[in-house]
Amino acid sequence: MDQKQVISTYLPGVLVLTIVRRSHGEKVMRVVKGAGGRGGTIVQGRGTINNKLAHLLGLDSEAVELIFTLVDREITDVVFAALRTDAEIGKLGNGVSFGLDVQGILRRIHRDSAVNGGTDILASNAQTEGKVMSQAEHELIAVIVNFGFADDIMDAARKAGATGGTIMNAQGTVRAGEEVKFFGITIVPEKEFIIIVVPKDKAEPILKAIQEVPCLSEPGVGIAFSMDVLRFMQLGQKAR
Amino acid sequence: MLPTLTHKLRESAVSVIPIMALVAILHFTIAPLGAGQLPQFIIGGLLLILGLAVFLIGAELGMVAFGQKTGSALTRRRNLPLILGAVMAIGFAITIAEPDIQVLGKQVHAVRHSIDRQTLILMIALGVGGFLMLGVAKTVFQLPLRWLLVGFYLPVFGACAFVDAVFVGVAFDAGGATTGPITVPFIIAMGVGVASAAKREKEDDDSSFGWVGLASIGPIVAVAFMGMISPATASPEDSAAGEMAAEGLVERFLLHALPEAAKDISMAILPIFLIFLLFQATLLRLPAGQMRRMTLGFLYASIGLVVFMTGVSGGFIPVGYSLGVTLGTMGGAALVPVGFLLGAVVVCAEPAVWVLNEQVEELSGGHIRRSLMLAALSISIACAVALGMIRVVTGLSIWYILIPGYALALGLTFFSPRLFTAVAFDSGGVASGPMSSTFVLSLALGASFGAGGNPATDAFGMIAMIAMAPLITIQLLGLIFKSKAKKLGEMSRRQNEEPGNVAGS
Repeated sequence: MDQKQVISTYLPGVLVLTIVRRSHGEKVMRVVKGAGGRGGTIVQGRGTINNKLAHLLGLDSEAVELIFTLVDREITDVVFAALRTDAEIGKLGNGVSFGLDVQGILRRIHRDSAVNGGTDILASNAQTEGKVMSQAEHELIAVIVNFGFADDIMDAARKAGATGGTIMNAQGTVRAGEEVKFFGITIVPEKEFIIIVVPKDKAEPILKAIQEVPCLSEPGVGIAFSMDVLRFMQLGQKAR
Repeated sequence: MLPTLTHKLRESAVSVIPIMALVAILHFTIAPLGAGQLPQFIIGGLLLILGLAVFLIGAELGMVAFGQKTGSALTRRRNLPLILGAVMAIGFAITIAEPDIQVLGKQVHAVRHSIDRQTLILMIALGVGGFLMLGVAKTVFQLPLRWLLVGFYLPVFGACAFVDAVFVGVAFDAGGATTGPITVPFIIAMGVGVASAAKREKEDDDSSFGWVGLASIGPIVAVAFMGMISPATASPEDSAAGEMAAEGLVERFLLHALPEAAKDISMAILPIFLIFLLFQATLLRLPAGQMRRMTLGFLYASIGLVVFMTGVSGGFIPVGYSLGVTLGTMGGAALVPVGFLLGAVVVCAEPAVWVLNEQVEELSGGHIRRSLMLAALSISIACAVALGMIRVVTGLSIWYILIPGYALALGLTFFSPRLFTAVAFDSGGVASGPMSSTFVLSLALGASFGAGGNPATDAFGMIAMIAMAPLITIQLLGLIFKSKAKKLGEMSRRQNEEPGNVAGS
C-alpha cells in the first residue's frame, strides 16, 4: 500500500443500458450501485409508446432517462437480477434493461493490488472471454439522422415489427476547416439518435424498412448500425 | 391506456391540490367562505387540474416544438435581418394576443384615464418584440446577459424616478404579466432553438435561456414611457376591483367564464398558428407526421387553456376576492402568514412554470432537477406574496422593495453561474402567470379593500414582486450549486484515481 503505482489496462465487461421514465434514473443508479456497479451516466431522451390510440392522438411519446453503466462480467448477473427484482423500479412500468458486450474498458489498476488481486481479475476475465456471447436473442438497432426524421424512422420500424424505441437529441460535428460561422457562433448540425431493441429474427426486415424511409435516400442524412444484445428484459416482470 | 395523459394528470393534480387544501383549511378555521363558494372553488380546482394537464401536453407537442424548430431553422439561414425581422414580428403578434395583456390594459386605464388602451398595448408589443431582438443578438453575438440586464434595468429605474408611484407598480406588473402561458413556451423554445443550432463552446453555457427575462423589460419600458409622456390627470379612486361582486351559482362557469375564456384563448392561439402555417410553407417544411403532431399540439394547448381559464375565472377569482376581504378585515397577523403559504403553493399551479422547469431539466441534462427549481420558486413566491401582503396592510411604497430587490438581483449576476442568471431572469417573467395575476391579485385586491387601504397603489405591484423574487432565489441556488459542483468535481477526480473506476459522468 505504501508505494502506489498505477497502470492502465483494458478489461472486458458489459455495458448495461436501462431505460426508465424521466427523473427515475437516479433510482436505477442506486440499484446498480447496490449490486456492485461503480457509477454511470444518465442521458435524457424520449421513448415511444406502442399504442394505436395514443399514436393517433399524438400522445405516443414519453420523457425517459437512459442509464449507461459499465460493469464487470462477473457481476452482470447480479446487476440484472437486482434491476429485475427491485420493486420500486418495477412499479414504473415500461422500463427495459439490456446488456451489450464490451471488449475493453479502460481501467487504472494499482500495481500492488495488481500483483495479488489484480492478476486474478485479469486471469478470470481471460477465462470468461469468448464464452459470453453466442446465444443472443435480441439485436440493438441504432440510427443517427438529421434532426426531425426520428419519428418517420420509428414509424417505418414499427410497421416492420418493432414495438418501441428511444430517441435522444444529439449534435453532429463538422469536419475541421468546414465550419460554418454565423457571427460569434459556429453552426453545427442537429441530430437525433434512435435506439430500438428487437428480436433477432425481426432485425433484418426492420433494418431494411429503415433503409427505405424516403428521407434517408439522400446521402449524408444519417447512419444506421446494429449489434447483438446480451440480455434483454422488461423491468417489473418476472424472468423473461 | 394513455400513459402520457394519466401521468400529466397526476402531476397537475399534485400541483393544484395544495392550493385547494389550503383554502379548504382556511374555510373550516379562520375564514369561512360564503354560501356555495366552496363547491364553486372545488369545481374550479378540478377544471384547473384537467386544463393544466391537457395544456402541458399540447404546449410540448405544439408550441415548444414549433418554437425550437423555428429558432434553429432561422439561425441556419444565417441571415441576420431575416432573423431579427421574424423575431420582431413574432414577438409583436404573440404579445398582442396574450390574454393577460388585455387585462393589464384595463388596469392601466383605470389608474390613469388619459392613456389610450390600444396605444399602450401597441407600445408593449413593440417593447417585447424589440427586446426579443436583443435576445437574438445575445445568442448570436454571445453578449453577456449580466451586462445587458444591468445596462437596461439601470436606465429603467432612472426613468421610473420621474413617474409617479402608482405607475411604477403597474409598469413592473406589466413586465411580469405580459409573459404568460402562451408566450412563454414559445419564447423559451425559440431561444433554445437558436442556441441549438450553435456549437456549445463554453462550459457554463447560458445561450439557451434569458429571452423571457429580456422580453420582460420591454413592457416596463413601454408603460413607464407612457406614464412619463401622458398628462397627469390622476384619478386613482376608481380601481378595477369594483365589478367583482358575488354572483350566481355554478352555472357562471358555463355562461360567463367559459365563453370568455374560449374567446380570449382562440384570439391568442390563432396568430401563432397562422405564423406556424406561414413558416411551415416557407421555412420549415416539416414532414407530414410532424405537421400533424404539432397541429394536434396547438389544439390541445388551446383546449387545455380554455378549461384552465374557465376554472380560474369561474372559481378562483371570486373566491380569492372574498377570501381576501375576510382576511383583510382580520389585519396583518392573518394576511401575511396566509400570503406566505399561498405563495408557496400557487406557483406550482402556474402552467408556464412547468414548461420552463422541463426545459431547464432537459438542457442541463438532468443536472438541475425540476423538483429543485420548483422548490426554489416556491420559497421565493412565498416571500414575495408575504411582502405584498405587508404592503397591503401598511401601504409601504413599492420603491422600498423594488430598489433593494433589483439591486441585489443585478449584483448577484456577477457571482452566480451564467446559466442560473439566465434561468433566474426567465423565471421572473414565468412565475407571474395567470394564477398570480388573477387569483393572488384578486385576493390582494380583496384584502386591501377589507383592510381599508387603497387597492390601486397597495395591491398592484403584487405581480412585480412575484416577478422579482425568483431573480434572487434562483441565483442564490446557483451560488450553492457552484460550491457543490466544485466539491463534486474534486470528488469524482479522486474517484477516478481509485483502482478500476470506469466511465464517470
